[in-house]
Amino acid sequence: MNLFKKDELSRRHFMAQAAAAYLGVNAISGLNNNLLGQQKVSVKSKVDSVIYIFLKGGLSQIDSFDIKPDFAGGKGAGAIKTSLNGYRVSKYFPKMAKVMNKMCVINSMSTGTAAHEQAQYLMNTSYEMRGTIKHPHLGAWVSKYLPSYSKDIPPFIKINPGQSLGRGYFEAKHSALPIGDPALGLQNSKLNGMSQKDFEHNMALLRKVNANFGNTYKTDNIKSYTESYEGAVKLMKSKELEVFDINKEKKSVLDSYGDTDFGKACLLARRLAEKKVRFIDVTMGTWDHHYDIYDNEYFPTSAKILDDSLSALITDLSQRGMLDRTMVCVVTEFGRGPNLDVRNGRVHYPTAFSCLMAGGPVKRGYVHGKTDANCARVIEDKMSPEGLNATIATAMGLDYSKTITAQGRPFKIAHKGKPEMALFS
Amino acid sequence: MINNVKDRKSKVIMRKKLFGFILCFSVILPLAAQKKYSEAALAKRIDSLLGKFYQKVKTRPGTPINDETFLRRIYLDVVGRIPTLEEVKNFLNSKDLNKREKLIDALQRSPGYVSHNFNYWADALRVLDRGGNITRSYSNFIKSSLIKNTPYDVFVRQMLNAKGSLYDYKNGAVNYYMRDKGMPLDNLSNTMSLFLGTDMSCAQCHDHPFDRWTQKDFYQLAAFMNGIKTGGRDKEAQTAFRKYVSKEKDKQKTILSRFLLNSKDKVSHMGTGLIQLPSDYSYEDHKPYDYVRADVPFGPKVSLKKQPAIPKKTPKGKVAGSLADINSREVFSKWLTSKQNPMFTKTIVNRMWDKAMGAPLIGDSLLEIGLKSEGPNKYLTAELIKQMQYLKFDLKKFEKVLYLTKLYQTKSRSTEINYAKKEKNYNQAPLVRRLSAEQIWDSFQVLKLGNIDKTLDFSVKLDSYQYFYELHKNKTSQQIINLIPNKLPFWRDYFKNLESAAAKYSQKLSGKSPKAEPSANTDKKKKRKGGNSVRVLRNPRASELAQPMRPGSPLRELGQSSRELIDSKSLESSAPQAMLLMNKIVSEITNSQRFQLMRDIKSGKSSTDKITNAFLAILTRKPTSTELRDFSSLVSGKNQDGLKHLAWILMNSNEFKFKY
Repeated sequence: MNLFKKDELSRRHFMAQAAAAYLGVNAISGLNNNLLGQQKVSVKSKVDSVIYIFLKGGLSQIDSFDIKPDFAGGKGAGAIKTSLNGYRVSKYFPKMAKVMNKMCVINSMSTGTAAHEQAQYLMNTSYEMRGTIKHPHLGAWVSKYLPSYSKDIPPFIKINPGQSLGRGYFEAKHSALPIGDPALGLQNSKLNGMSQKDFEHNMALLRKVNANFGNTYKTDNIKSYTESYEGAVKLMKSKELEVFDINKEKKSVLDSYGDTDFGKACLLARRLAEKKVRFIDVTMGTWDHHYDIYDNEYFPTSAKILDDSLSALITDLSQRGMLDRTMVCVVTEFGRGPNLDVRNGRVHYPTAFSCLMAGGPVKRGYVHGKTDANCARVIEDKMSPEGLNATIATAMGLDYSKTITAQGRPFKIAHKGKPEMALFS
Repeated sequence: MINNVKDRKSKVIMRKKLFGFILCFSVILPLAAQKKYSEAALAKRIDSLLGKFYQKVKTRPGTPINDETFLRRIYLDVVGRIPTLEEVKNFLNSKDLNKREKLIDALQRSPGYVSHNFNYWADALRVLDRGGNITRSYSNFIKSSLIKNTPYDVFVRQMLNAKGSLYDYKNGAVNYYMRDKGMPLDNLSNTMSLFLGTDMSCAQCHDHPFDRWTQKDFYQLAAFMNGIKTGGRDKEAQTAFRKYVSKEKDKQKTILSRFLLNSKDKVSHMGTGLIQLPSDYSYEDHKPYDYVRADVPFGPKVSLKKQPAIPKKTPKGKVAGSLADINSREVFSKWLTSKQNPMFTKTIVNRMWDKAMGAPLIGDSLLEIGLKSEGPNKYLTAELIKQMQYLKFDLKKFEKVLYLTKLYQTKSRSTEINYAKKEKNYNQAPLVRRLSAEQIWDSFQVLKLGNIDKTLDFSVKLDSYQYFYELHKNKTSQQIINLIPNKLPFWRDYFKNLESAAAKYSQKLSGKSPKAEPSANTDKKKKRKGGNSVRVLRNPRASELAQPMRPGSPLRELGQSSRELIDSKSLESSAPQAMLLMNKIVSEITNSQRFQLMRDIKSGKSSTDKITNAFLAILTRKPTSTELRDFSSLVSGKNQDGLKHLAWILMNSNEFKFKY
């Protein structure tokens, strides 16, 4: 048996390990676990809400917001003038071209991760995907550390959720509230085949049955079940639920967003932002254009939907005077190869890609970062997902520099990322 | 002086050892490997150890449970669902003195056992049936292991040594590695946590801050698994594919070629026994990129049959060429599952105890137990380890032993164990635990459809890829490309044809006549006209649905694991979950006349009978006299819907959602 082999391990090594650990723990436990308060850096105007649009599959930067019309691989995208002087976008985004003076474009995103799931995870959490711990989505951080404006509506909502509701190592209550179909809104919030009177009568009897059981078995989980039922009763009666019903909008507004799932999701996101719901994730798929990218059914179709709805969202927010307190972020997994491959598609390309921002303290009509003439690599102001998330956190008033402890380990909202102050006005 | 102190110390130690030895023998006799012990006899040994322990720590055992509580508990634990009204009545009316043991046996033989335990292991093994290159054969592998009752140590070795085609339907064990494709170090961390109760995930990147594990320990373990290849085309397939797509102009054909060549995907290589330290290795004993040989950090020593040769490195530290395969994975799997490994048996005993009793035997975790930890009652731990090995890792038998103990058949504790305040589990009683999402789902299915185990069908159903592999497994990549038809209108049509052929082939495999099960499409149309939901009727149990279901779906809202981390099901409540239960799942049952529950309730003659039926069917117990009184006005008054409301209330009760 060499069970105790390690007892012979140099004591010095062990002490060094222990000291590092204690120092680490001291350093961590000495910190306030709150991310609010005095920030290391701050912005002039904080935003109440973030609409976080995730383009699944990987948006082709060279066919959208980082066009290279003089480069062979970028010819297919064409080029049109925008409302931002001297900046052009691809011909697939005519409506976005008109609102580019309100947008902040980041053309210098770069990572080393070319697999979908891993890249999405990194973008959402600032951490690399691991098989042994689950990191929270930026929205779950917001849910945990920012006070909510609404008593009834959860602060983190995912429209068209993917495989994860993002709570990571936080408590279940920080999971996103999933909205599967934006046209249907919040599911199961209405009584089904039962009058309000009967419901109240039944609830009274249910409380009695539960009290019996609760007198015998007194675990916290049993108590929290009683609380969740009471919470549901409150939520069902709440006037705030109307926010989930996009059919309350005028037809002209509905039409402007477009009769697509993504359009409806953007409209719902705006309604939620109106109620100051903190973090609204809208996922749009799929941008994974490996084959014949310019065939009508592929990139052009996806681009048209994005162009219609995103421009409508920006215009709508602006007209309602909401753009100062609402930030829109359009992020993706990675870019796509600057050269068309043998199948006339584009491969995954994490070395250089584009993201968009608008609203709040973010500069309007600004292009950040630069790639070389072939869109092959970033040559100015390289930005990482961590940096982007630190920027979003800062705009919301959360301190990117503070460390919290979870499962005995230290974490920060944007990992090692620091906010890009050049993006702020 | 010094000698004296040493002497005194060693005497004390000797006395302690002797005392322990005597205590052990005074409590219980050793298990003789040759002798045959019945499960009941083994259970008695456990109870006797517990009895002595209660005396020692001055506590008393709890009160025994009645037949009703036993019935609900054993159904949920063995087959993962509540009993039907008929099953409840049969059991309660039986006068057989040995009816509890007989029921355990019957339930363990039922297909429900496979379904429920599949759910349990799917959570532990993070089973996915889609995404990446994972196939549904992972689920098939686990189910067939449960059907065959493969001994646990063999089951683990099958996964650790798995290799070969991903699309061979008999080879589902390879998904253990495919699950963590591209993340071999995480896969190893999970292996150590799940099978050895040893969390080394910190040591993956740096020396463990609190534990003994160093980063080098971790890499020495990783060396056993190094070189393993998960999926992807091999060179031959790669070359054939490139050659084909560079010439072929028809897009549909190039797409199809890609998919068809996926049938070549496999897990290969048995380990190099050698690995390079990472580029940021920062301890004094080695430089970054140094090679370390495979070794184990605890337990019996291992020796590789062949020592790996250490190749030369470039100045930057990288190596040209590949390392030789020396079958080190097999050495690792033998060490891991060895009876002499101090963690292997202890970890599965701890897990099975938790599964039956609602709390781990040792400490408060299943994944981090501690090398020396023996739990509050070390004689019990030692006995259970002996029993597990005596039973040759037959989990079914081991669980039966636990179910037969007095402890299992004791009324649950009223509170949880407060580990934060250093409270220990003295095992006077099992713990209350919320049902898993699958148990809740399956129990609702019972209330809808009655005995849902009868329709379980575990026969293998090949998908189009698996079928294609069966047909063409001996072909080269070039020969596979040659199969692509000259005229191909749309590549998906090719798969549609494969799919229907695969269904016929599967029926042949399971010995069914093709007419018995019409193809999915026509079936859907027919059923829709009848108004019944096809999915619910054909696949009533959670184990037969997608693994896992999509977020936002009822099972996920109820807490089904996303399968991202080991044992990550959620037992927590939320307001959306409560709304799902009240306004969808439960009301769908009470609003419909066609489900079993309302028929069962209405079969009672008097209103007392009807209330009693509702309680028996939903909560597996008779109502108390107070409850009878409370509900009789609801049922017998003018309210036409009284019975419906009664059922709604009971199905929404906390009692329904908890195992107590």
